[in-house]
Order: sequence, then structure tokens, then C-alpha cells
Amino acid sequence: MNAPVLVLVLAGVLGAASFLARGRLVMASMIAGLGAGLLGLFTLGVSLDAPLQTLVGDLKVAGSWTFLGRTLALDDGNRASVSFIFLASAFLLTGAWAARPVRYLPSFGLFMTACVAASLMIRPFLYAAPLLEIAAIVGCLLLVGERPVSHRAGIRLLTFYTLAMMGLLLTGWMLESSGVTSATTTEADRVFLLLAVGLAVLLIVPPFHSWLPAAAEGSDPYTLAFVVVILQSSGLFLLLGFLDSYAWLRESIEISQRLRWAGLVTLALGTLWAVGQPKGARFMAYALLADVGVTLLLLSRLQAADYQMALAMAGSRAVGMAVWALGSANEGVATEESRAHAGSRAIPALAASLGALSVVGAPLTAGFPGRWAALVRLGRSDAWAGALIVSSLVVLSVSVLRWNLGSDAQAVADSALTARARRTFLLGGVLLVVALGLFPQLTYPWLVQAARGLENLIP
Amino acid sequence: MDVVLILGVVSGLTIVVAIALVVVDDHRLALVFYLLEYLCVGGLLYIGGFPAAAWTRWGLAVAAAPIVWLTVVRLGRDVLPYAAGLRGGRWFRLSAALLVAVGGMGFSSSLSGIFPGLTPAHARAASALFTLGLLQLGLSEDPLRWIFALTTCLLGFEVVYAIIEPSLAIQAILASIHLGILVVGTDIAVRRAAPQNPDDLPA
Repeated sequence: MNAPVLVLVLAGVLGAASFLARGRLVMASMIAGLGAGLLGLFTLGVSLDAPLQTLVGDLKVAGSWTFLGRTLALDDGNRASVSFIFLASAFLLTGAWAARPVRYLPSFGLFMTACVAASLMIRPFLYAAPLLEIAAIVGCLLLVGERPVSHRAGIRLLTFYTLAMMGLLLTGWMLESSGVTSATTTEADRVFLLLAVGLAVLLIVPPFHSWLPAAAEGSDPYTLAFVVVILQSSGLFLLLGFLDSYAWLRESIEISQRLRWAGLVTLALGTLWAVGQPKGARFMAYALLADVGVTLLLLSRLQAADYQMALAMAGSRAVGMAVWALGSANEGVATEESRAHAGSRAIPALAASLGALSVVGAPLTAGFPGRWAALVRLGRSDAWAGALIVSSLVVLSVSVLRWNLGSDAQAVADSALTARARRTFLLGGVLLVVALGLFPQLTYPWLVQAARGLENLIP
Repeated sequence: MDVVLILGVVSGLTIVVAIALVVVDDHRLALVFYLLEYLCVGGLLYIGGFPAAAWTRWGLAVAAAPIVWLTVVRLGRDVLPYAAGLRGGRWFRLSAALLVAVGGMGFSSSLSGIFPGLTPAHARAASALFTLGLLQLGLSEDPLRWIFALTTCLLGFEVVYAIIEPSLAIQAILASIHLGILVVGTDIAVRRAAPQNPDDLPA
């Protein structure tokens, strides 16, 4: 038995089962979500290349599979990151039923997660780019949705990812064949330019962010949250993979400076653009950019603890985005029963606001510990970065609190049982955001382990 | 036969076809030029000594033809006016395409300096295809035009990449990306044109 093949085949089978059950969203979400969760736990805990005693005899799970000269490998170097992607996906897919997303989000979402997982397992890792492109193709279909309001977001996403793939493949070839180091200045500059474009697309750095506000306008919020969290996390892992593999990159002062500038610009622009948005979804798109800016500022320090914190922020971003999207998707709808109770109408609005506050890093939410850690680390050495982080946090938090919590609810066909389950689920999301804000020790020590295999970055 | 001369001719033909693809309004005619683009790129790679990459492109042309043709037929004249997806008049697009192609070809000399094994003919075709694809991306957000534009960019890239990295695995993945873009683009085109409201359906 072969672990990478088993993981990908199971993801495919579960995705197909979820697709067949797409008419029953609860079942489809559970198949995909629980399946992704089990795959995440399997990749984290499976004993590789060692015989396992079972009822039918000894069973050995191989850690790698070679096909046409390329290897898919699950080892101690990547099992934490593969598991991170599956568990983040599981968290989002399990809750999909409560957000009334695109019907095929659970199935296609699992396919997309499998592509990203394959990109983390492929060796040489530079061939991750085409697999991420395939993930973006699935993401494009999800963003456009069943009855496209606008196809602009999907088309832009795929265009940017195609350009990124070309840049990253050429970067890989140059690094492998030309022996590029910091001493070979011209070649290093070329590599850096291609790499910068490729990673800027994957990390959603302006000007390659334009698909995000377009998706906020034309796509379902929960689907957008899923696509953003999975694709952006994969970009972060790819960047860390590059830094881990090439000493001249992770020791370059120039790279550090450019990451810092990219972070400052992304944080400032994200905050300014977010403040100017009247609509919640577009606000969130830009608030997410500001969050990405903070991540880039952390990465610019090129230190182990900062890489870990950047990953932890990616995890808390998934929580914040999911709760915001759940609340946002349920804000405009209500059953006949819930119309009678003002309290039940307030839960979706509360979830949307708390999820948004978590993404902007407000105190008492899941996003705050990461933002606070970034402020403590950066503020000491970089006054500009510290000031920007504080201003962004204050300005964006006030903007969220200004949102109109009331909404004109429209009646939808929904059984009382489903409505109650959905309300309970939303309340659970709200409590989760607050609990993770109050007790970061519940998740952060686990989240930072996602970079465990990057031995050169985190010894 | 002089291989360099043949490569030059095929490279020139590729550039002319790519320019024509930018200029034409008619989706059916655009499809013909689009398929010719695949054939020309396949020819360039075949003559350059990369038959696997060439056959992959020709295979893609065979797969792309029915997918795009069926979409164009399904959309029909009433739903999608031919010139709807393109900005600017035909003369504007021709002049822009010529400018971009000349600019791209100027860049080709440095391209063949960076990548060993890339002949000037390959470099000219690659840079012209890539830049003309980018021009088309800027001219239209119509899903069908977007397919033509993005895959033109990708073909330009592949002329270079197939030469520097002729691995069969990567060729297969790149081919699947072409098909993915084709399927997604045509799916968006069809769904966008479908009536949004049941009341819009004909009686």
C-alpha cells in the first residue's frame, strides 16, 4: 500500500461520493468534511515504511510513489503541512451545509484540496506549480457557481494562476540547471523576478488581488472563504518550501527587504481599500489583504518563530473566514419561525461580525493572538510596521462595528429542525472564535507544528 | 531541405496566425485560427526535435476543436454577437497586435540567450505568442475569447518549456491544464448565456 496514492485515491472517491449526494447538502458536506478530516489525521499519524500488524497479516505503507520520473512522497518533511491542508479543508467543508453554498462545493472542494495536497507531496517540489494550477481550475468553477452572476473573478483567478505557474516552472528550471546563487547576480535577479511574480499571485499580493473583490461581489461568501483559505495556504507553504530549499534565498537581506515592503504596501492598501467599502463581502476581501500584509511582514524577518506564527495566522484566518461566511450567508434569510424571534435573527449577524473581527485581528477573537504576536515581534525593530499593524487593527475593527447588524430577512423553505441546527452551528462558530481568542493555547501550539518538516527553516 | 529556413517559415506563420486570432471578430473563424496555432506550435516543436511535445499539441487541437465548436454552435448568433467580446475596432486591434508582436520579437533575442537550445525561430514564436495572448487578455473578458487568449499565452510558454524540459510527465500535466481551461471556459460561456430565471425560458 502506498500512502500518497491512497490519500489521493480516497480523496477522489470521497469527492465523487459527495458529488453524487450533492442534492442533499448535509450529507454531501459530511462526506467531504469528515473524509477530509480522516485523511488529515491519516497523513499525520500513519506509520510509514514500517510493517503494521493487522488481522490479515503484516501491512506496510510505503511513503513514496514514482510515476514518469516524478515522485509523490509523504514523509516527515511534509506530513504536517499536508495534514494542515486537509484539516483546514475539513473544518470548512463540514460546515458548508449551514451556509447554503454552491451545491458542489463539498465535492469539488475535496478535489481541490487533493490537488493542493499533491502539490505539497510532489518531488522535486518545483513541480507543485502545475498542480496548484489544476486546483485553481477547480477554484474557478467554484467561484463562478451554478448560476453565474459574474464570471470575472473565476477568469481572473485562473489567468493569474496560469501566469504564476509559468513563472514558477521557469524559476524551478533556472534554480536546478543554472546553479543560481547570490553570487551570480544577473541570474539571481531573473530568478527573483519570476519567483516574486509567482508567489505574489499565490499569496494574493496587489496587484494580483483583483479576483478577490470581484469574487466578493459575484460569488457565494462561503465558497470564496474556502477557495481563499486553501489557495492562500498553499502559496504560503510553497514560499516556505523555497526558503527551506535554497540557503541563498533565506539568507538574503534583499529578499527580507522586499518582503517587508510588500507587506507594508499590502497592509496599507488593504486597510485603506477596506475602509472605503460599503458592502461586507468587499470589505472582507480587502481586510484579508491587510491580514496577508501582516503575514508578509512576519515572513520578512526570516526567523523560525516568525514562520511558525505566519502559519498559525493562516489557521486562525480559516476560522475567522468560515464564521464570517456562515453568518453572512445566513444574514439575509430566515424561516417563518425565526422571523418571529429577533434573537435568532441576530445570531447570523453576530457570527458575521465576529468572524470579520477575527480576520482583522480584533481583541477577544481567534485572529488576535497572531496579530498581537506580530506586533510584539515587529514593533520592537520596525516602527513603521508596528504603527501600521495597530492603525489597521483599530480602523478595521471600528469599521466592522459600524456594520448594520439588522437585515431584511427573506423567508426561505427550511424545516424547523434544519433551522435550529443551523442556528446552533452558527452559535458554535461564534463561541469558537471567542474561545480561540481567549485561549490561544488550545490551537496555536498545534498550528505552528505545520512547519515541522522544514528542517532548514525551523531546526 | 534547410531546417533553419523551415523553422523560420513555421515561426512566421505562427505569428501571423496569432495576429489573425486577435483581429477576427467571428468566433468560428477565430476557432480556425486557434486550431492553426496549435498545429503551428506542434510543427515548431516537431521540426525542433521534440516529437512527443508536438504530438501532445496536435492531440490537444483535436480535443479542443469539438469542445469549442459545440460551444459556439450552442451559443448561437442570437445569444452572442460575434464581436461582442472584443474591445476596439478591427484596425485598432490589428495595429495593437502588430505593435505587440514586434515588441515581443524584440524581446526574443534575450530569450534565446537565457534558455540554451532555443533557436531564434522558436524564441520569436514563443515571445510573440505570449505577448499576443496577453494583449487578447486585455482586450476581452468574454469567456471564449479568454480561452483563446490564455491558451495562446500558454502555447508561447510551452514552446520554450518543451525545449528546456522535455519530460513526458510535465507535458501531460500541461496538456491537462489546456483541457481544464477549455472545459472551464466553455462551461462558463454556456452557463452565462443560459437564462437566469425560469420565466426567461421560451414557452
